[in-house]
Amino acid sequence: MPQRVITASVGVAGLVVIGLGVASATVWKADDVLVATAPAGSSIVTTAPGVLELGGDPVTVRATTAGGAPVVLAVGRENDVEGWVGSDAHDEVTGLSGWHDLAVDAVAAGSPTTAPSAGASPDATSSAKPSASAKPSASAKPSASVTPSPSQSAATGAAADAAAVPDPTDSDLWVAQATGKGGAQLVWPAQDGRWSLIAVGTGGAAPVLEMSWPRVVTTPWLWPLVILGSLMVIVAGVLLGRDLYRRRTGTQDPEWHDVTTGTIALVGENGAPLTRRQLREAELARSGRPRTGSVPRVQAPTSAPTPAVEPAREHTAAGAADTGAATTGAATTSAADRASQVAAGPPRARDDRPGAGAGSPATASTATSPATAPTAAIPTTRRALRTGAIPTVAAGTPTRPDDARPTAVGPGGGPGQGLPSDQQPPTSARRTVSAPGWLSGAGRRRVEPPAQAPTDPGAPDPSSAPTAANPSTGWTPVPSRTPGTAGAPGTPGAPGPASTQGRTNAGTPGTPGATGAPGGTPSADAARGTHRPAWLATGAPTPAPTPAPEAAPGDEAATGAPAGQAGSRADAWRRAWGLPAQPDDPPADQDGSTTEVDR
Amino acid sequence: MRRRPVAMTGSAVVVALVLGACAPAVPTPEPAPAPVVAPAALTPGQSSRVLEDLGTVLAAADKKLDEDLLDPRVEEPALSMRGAEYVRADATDGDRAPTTLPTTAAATIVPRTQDWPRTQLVVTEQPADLQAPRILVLRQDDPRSQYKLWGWSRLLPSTSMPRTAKPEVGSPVVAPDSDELTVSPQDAIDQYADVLTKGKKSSHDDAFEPNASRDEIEALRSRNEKAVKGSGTYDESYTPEGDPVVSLGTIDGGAIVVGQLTALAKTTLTLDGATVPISDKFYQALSGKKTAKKSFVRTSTDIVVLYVPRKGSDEKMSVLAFESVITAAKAS
Repeated sequence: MPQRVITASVGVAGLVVIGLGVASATVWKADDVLVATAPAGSSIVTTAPGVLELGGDPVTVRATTAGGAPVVLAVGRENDVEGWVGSDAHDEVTGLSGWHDLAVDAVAAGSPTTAPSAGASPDATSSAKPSASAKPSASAKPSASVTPSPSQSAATGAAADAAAVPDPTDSDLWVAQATGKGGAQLVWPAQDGRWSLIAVGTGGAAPVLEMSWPRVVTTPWLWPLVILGSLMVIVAGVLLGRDLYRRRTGTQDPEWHDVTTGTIALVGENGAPLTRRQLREAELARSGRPRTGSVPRVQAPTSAPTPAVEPAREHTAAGAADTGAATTGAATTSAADRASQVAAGPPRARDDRPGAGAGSPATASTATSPATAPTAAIPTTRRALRTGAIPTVAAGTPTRPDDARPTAVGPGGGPGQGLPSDQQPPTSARRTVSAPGWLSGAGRRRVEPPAQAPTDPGAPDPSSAPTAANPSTGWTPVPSRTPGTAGAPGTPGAPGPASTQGRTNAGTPGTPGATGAPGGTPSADAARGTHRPAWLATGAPTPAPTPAPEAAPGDEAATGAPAGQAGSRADAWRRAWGLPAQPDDPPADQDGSTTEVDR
Repeated sequence: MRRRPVAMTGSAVVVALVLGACAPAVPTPEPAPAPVVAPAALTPGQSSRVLEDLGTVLAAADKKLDEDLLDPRVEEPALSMRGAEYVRADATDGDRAPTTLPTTAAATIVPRTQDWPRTQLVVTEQPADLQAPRILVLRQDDPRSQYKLWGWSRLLPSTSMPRTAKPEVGSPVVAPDSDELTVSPQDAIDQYADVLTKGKKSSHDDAFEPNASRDEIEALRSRNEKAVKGSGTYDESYTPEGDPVVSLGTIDGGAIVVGQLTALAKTTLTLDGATVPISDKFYQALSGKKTAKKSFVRTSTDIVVLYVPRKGSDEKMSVLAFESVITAAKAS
């Protein structure tokens, strides 16, 4: 899940990045035209040199006045504009205060040096103010008498007639000019030199100045971001797609962890899932404990296990554990609970048998022959289940719940594969409709153990033992059918155990299971189901207890298990390997491990 | 909960900063450096526009012989000159039409200045009647007034204008008291006035190249003196009116100086019973009389354009253009 979440988030992030890239070139793209305005202030507005060329070329200046008042726009040399404005109060645009605002500097009257006469400036201010605020008509007349005098020499009498606000229209100073009522627009291509703009509301109205420049807008972030985002999306998509594909195909890597192995115990503990049959079987199993304790089985396993074990060892420790577990499980029926659990497991399987049989067998097969299990696990399992699985299962299950976990180990080799099969409908799971729950449980159990098993198996540690034991239990579920498996694994040897256990099924299954038992399996299974408990009770349990301890201690439960039944061999094996015989303690450890697993 | 708002604001600030860093800076004005030398006061376009406007005004005023119509583009002394011509034209029923003033520039001498008043000289194309080209003096007294025709002068025959800078560049303005010339512009005008007044007797007589206008003036004077001889006296005096209106440097370091002279031609009758008949309708119109019993005074406004060579030059000053228009006549 976390992987999926991560990949998904990467994909989302990629989309976001793409979005950012696109947005940078669209929504966030800088305007093609830079437009800045200056609010209405003085009736005379000028611009500082350079402002006209501020944002590009050419500049479009628009001046508007309220009420359709006449307005004049003109461009002249900086010096000319300053000279014309003279000492009058005016607003000077000095630049941009923001992307859309012009910085305006209010210049009070009289400040300019060009004022013709000192006395003129005050008059100019007085005239300018009324003109700016009041209506031209009212203020113009009184001011008219005042204004002209200051700024204009006596020689030019014409200017004296001007309104409160002097009219720059058609002055020889201007290089460009635009006039209008209520608004005027002027386009000024940049030229060498220092040019200024002047806008005058000749009627006394304060013009609102708007300057716009064309901008060369680049979108440097568009493609880099889009490409980066696309890559992210593609990567995420590929990962997710692969994940999905694996899910469907079943090739997905098993995620055993989530399954929560604890279920093993739960299986036994949970009353709900248990069917009546299961319950009965459980009881039988309990009652049968003593019987199970009885060794007879042991013998059978011994024969079977040995062969199984050996190959297991050869291949992998885990495998060995599995096999051992299966056998040991059968041998060690120490805990009644375990037995019940195991029994419970199997029962379900039985119910499902027709379908479930397929699934379980697989496990069984794996358990028995680890080597084969991994590869041929699925097919063999079914067969095995159908055929002789039952006996083995019975053996495994009843014996030790603890072992059940170990079974997981056994499975570990096989389980990994087995589980997937469970999860994945296509394989065995489909068939084992009812089983799935159980299987899955088993699988999960197995899963964890396997992890441990591989590592542990090599080590003689108790924990490993438990794991090994678990596998056997894990098998147990399978085992229900597996009993056959016990035989199956050892196809050759299986018959032996089966026979020992007195199961015709076992005998038959063993061989047929490998090949074509299926036809007969259902009936056989049923028989097994019924028989198992009994069988378990009689054969496996009893002998198991005693030998199990010994066997369990062994690194590989497999060895122990078989050893339990055929103590001499196991001991011999241990001696050969310089391993000390293990006490019953391991089971306790196993329990611990199981609990862990459960957790 | 406490941390979240902090984290939110923090991240917001970071985002804001990042985005802000990405945003380009607001452009700032980058004006061209202020010119070391003042640029030409007028662009060629502006000059031609002024001339065009002047032509329009003159045409309108000439058509009606209305001095008032000249106001937008003509100022003193040209206004008086033109007004007198209108009177003359009116008095003579158009026989003596006002001076033709072409407004098409053959050359323009533009001042390099950032101050007012500003004066530019325009050498016009030769008029259609093959008269001498005119030099128009256009002056802008202050920033809010227009360029107006201050005066005009008639280019003297066989004179060539000294080379001046291109109008786009502009010609330097020479101060009236400049000492970079053989004679300061102010003195040059004064001296020429003295020469005109005193003739050969003037101490500055040899400071000026001989020119046609001066010869004409002296010829006219001697004629008048002869006419009055025995019954009265005839005096002519030329007085400069203030400083020269403009002095623009030429390429060779000299200057073109434009000045205004007021000429008084006074005929005084000393013989009893003698009278001076005022036959000229123009004079009649100006003086309001047909005879002068004691004296008759003509006042003319003269516009003189001098070339003053640079200091150290061996050249003499020369008169480039001269125009005299009788603007008043008084008979008593």
